[in-house]
Amino acid sequence: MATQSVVYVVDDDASVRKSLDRLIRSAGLSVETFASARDFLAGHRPDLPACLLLDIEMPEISGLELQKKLTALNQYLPIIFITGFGNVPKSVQAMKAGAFDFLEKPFEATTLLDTIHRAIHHDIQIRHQKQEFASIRKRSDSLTNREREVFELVAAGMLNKQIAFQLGITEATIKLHRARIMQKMGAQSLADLVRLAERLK
Amino acid sequence: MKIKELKESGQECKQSVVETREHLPTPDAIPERTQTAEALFHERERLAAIINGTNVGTWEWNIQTGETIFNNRWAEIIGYTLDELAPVSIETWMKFAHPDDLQLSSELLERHFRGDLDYYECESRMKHRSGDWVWVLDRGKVASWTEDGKPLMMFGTHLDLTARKQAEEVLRQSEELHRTTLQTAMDGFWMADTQGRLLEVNETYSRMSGYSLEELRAMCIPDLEVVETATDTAAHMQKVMAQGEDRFETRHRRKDGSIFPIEISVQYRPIGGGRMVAFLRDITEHKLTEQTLRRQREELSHVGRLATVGEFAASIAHEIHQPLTAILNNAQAAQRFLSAEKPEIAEVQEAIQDIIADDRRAAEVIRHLRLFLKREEADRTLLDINGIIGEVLTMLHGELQDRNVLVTPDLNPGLPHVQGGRVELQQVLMNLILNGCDAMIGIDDDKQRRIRIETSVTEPDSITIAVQDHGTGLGAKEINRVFEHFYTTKRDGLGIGLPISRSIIATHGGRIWAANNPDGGATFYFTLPIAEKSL
Repeated sequence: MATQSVVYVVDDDASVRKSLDRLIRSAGLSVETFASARDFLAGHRPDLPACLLLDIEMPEISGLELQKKLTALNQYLPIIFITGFGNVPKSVQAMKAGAFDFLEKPFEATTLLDTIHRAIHHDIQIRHQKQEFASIRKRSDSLTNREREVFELVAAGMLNKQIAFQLGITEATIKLHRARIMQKMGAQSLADLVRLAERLK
Repeated sequence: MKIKELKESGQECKQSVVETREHLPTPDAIPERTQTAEALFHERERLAAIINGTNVGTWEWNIQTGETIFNNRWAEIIGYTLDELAPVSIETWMKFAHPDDLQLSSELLERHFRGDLDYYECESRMKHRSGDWVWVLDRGKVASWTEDGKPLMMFGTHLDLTARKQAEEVLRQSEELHRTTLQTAMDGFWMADTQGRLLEVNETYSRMSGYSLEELRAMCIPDLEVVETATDTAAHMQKVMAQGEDRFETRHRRKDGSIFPIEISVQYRPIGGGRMVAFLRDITEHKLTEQTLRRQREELSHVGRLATVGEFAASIAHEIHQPLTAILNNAQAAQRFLSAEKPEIAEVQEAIQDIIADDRRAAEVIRHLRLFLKREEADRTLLDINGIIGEVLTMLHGELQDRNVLVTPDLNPGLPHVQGGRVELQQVLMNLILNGCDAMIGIDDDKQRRIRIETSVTEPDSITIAVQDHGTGLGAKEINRVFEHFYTTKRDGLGIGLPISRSIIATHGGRIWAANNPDGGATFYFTLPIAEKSL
């Protein structure tokens, strides 16, 4: 995980930025720092597992605004907000908008690094789920219309007889469709197939 | 002349006077007179005319017998004719004369008879027919003496002094009124000559200064004046003489050595060799009130400043949190680099360097905060704003070079001084210049990254300083709120911001505002009142 992930730091204060960079590097993580939200949007690599350490208060584009922009761009990234002293309302706002966590300055290195690790782990999981979903979606897309109909009814727990009756085709034909569906979807069992259908919902 | 002759001629003379007054004969009516008699007649007529012309009453008195002869004018002065008074004697005089004056008159006569006085002269009152007293100047001289040296015949005149006495009385009353006015005046009063010697002083000034009137009348202005030297006072008096009057504030020293503030209104009158007439007002109370008001204003302004502190306390906390956060991060990073299997000394060294820099930065923020909160009246000295701008530009030299910003000062060389705190005004200028730099961060063209600082006298009593940038300018909302809401942009260096600048300018009695330039960018203006001494 460590080699293939990156911690982004966006903070307009040069000293804080530099110190965060150093602290995170001390944990063997790779870091990329940006002085503004604009720089980050232009410079980060959405393909890598990552987390974003984001200063909540910045001129021009604030941390909260960057969070909104990323959501709007459908670029999920666990965001750890760094807030100033006693800035509860903004932290609440950030959490409601889906922030991973928030840290109040100044913070302990262990707290920060723990949170970063959790966030990256979370991102990897999310990315994994996304990939899985994309793969299932791709497989389901290869089904014919009739196969998709049968798939949905099978996933709903119907017996072949019931499906045949409902669709007005023979049970033998249904069996053929089911075999094709199992093959196309890469399912080993009926239980597998039901699970894949669940994921697609 | 022998006594006998005098007596005879005197007798004759007075008879003639009486006659001539009553029935004036002409020389033609008496052709039998000899030439000598005729000459005598002319002589008499001449004397009579003179007496008539001088409009005096005459008297002749035989001191030994008490017989007297008066002329008509003598009776007329007291409202009678001679006939109405007849028969006359020295008793007639004594009857009409004021008893007090009669006493004085007798004494003076005695002295004349003894030879102490060459002639007798006495101002005395006589009872007029109307009941009023009239003043007469009674003068006379003994003309003949008895064989045994006693005064015999005395001749004299009465001159009516009533009109003069009345005029004198009016003048005396008027003077008394003036004196009373001056003595009872709330203000002190002086009259001095052109050498500064006090000629007249009133009770009020005597009370103010603690000196008695006698002491003051022996003093000169420089004995009392504290602010001006004797030379200054002499020059000041020349000025008053030239312009006729002056009004000014100064301080005087009391007899007990204490000093009090005083306001003087002085006029020069070119009478009697030149007179300085001055009214002096003790303004101790006034000054105290002024001080109290100023202190109250300062307290209010401090409350205002504290409120402003509350307004952006969070941002100041933020300013301090930034370096503290960085220090903690660096320290913990250093710890981790040291405890690694292969300690990375270079990283640790860099971390420590940053820790030092950030610690200094935090200290700087606190120093500025303390400066801002400082309650005591800031050092208010006469300052040359152009000089302060020069100082600030020197201080910011490196920063401006790093940021590639060109500052062009357009300073009015004849700028009057202002009164204020040097450090505070430096802070305002730094804030505005650095704000301008920040506003121009996005500009690529080096030639466009410039700030113009202009100083000018745009109002009669204040100067205006303008800091003009070519940056992004201000939004419509920002222009009005930029001073209200401190929105930290966490600049390196100072960066406590516009509300503090506003607070500083307000305590200096000036204003600060911002406006967009027609050709882009914004200009921040502030005014400072011209120091009184420069006006």
